[in-house]
Amino acid sequence: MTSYQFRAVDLSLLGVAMGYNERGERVRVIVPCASGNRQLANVSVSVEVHANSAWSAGVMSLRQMNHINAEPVDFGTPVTIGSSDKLKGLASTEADAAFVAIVTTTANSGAALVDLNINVTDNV
Amino acid sequence: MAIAYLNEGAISLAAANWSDATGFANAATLVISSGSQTITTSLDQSGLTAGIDTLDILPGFTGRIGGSGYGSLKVDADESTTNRIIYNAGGGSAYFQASGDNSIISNFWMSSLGSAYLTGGTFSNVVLGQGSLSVDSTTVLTDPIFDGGAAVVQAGTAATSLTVRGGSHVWKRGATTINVYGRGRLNIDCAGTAITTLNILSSEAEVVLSSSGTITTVNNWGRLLADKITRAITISTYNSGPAGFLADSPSYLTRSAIGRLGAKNI
Repeated sequence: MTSYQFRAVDLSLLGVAMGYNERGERVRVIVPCASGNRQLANVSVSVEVHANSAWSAGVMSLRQMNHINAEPVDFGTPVTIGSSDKLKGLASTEADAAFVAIVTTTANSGAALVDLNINVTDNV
Repeated sequence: MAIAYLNEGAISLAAANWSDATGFANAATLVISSGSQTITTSLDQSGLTAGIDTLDILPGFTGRIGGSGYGSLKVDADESTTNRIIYNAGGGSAYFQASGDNSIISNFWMSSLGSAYLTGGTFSNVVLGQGSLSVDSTTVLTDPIFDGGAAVVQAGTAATSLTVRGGSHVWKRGATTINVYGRGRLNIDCAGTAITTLNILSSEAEVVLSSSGTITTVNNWGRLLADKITRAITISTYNSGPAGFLADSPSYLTRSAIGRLGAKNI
């Protein structure tokens, strides 16, 4: 399992989520689903809410990309992440992409910031 | 006052769950020493007229205190002699808000494997040794010291001084003086807010300049990375030591006066 943490993701901004990585650099929330040159078959995503203020359900979606600069597209079964979702995952049959991204699909009206902990797991 | 311990497994901070059957009271000295539960109720202790003395959360506790849906632990800790909250939990997370009386937590010391979130009030002296610290825009930090770990401080009231000695941090508000020592790494991303003095005080210290208002003086004995700045920045006086390194962004970084500094051994 490989773990990634993105902090202070601003849910008021549409598009691929932006957060701070471990080095304090502001980056897009995109993680590879591979170990070496082998693509992994199962990805789980955990989400930790940073702000006490409420944020709208379904503001984020987990999407797939086959290139780092490709447009993220939904999985076969769209995976949305709402304020009550502490843990979101994918069925193993869905994870056929090289990258997964978190995309803010509905802007939050407040100033909600979230920390995203993403674990990429090989269950094969 | 005698130390009171929270009963292991308690999910409420109510009086009955403390070893002295009182818990939060003016000048109380409290300890959460063990457990892995999520503490969800009686988190609002802002009704105290003077505030507690100390609350220590020790490595044996790996649970969560507050959070989304529960809110923060609201407390004032500036009463009696010690005036502190120590968050040294072995994991988990905790939300704190300085609230009640004069809404001050005099000292907040953190060296934890967990994450702390500061969600309001004034934290006068914050010392971060280890762990993840998130500070929201309503929280006032007066003189924070980051010795390690990873802090993300949102835009808000400017600090008098910020000291970075280690770890990797994001600073989104102004400051009168910023000192970066050792192998500290700081990303300054404070939009148009001014900084008076930025001192990069060792050859391995690194400051990433993302955005800022005018910086009056930079004294650089380390590494200043300004090649990815997101808005035009003026440094009124830029002084460089013998090994000072600057990754410039000529179109967006203006240095009005450039000077040399002698060697520094810190």
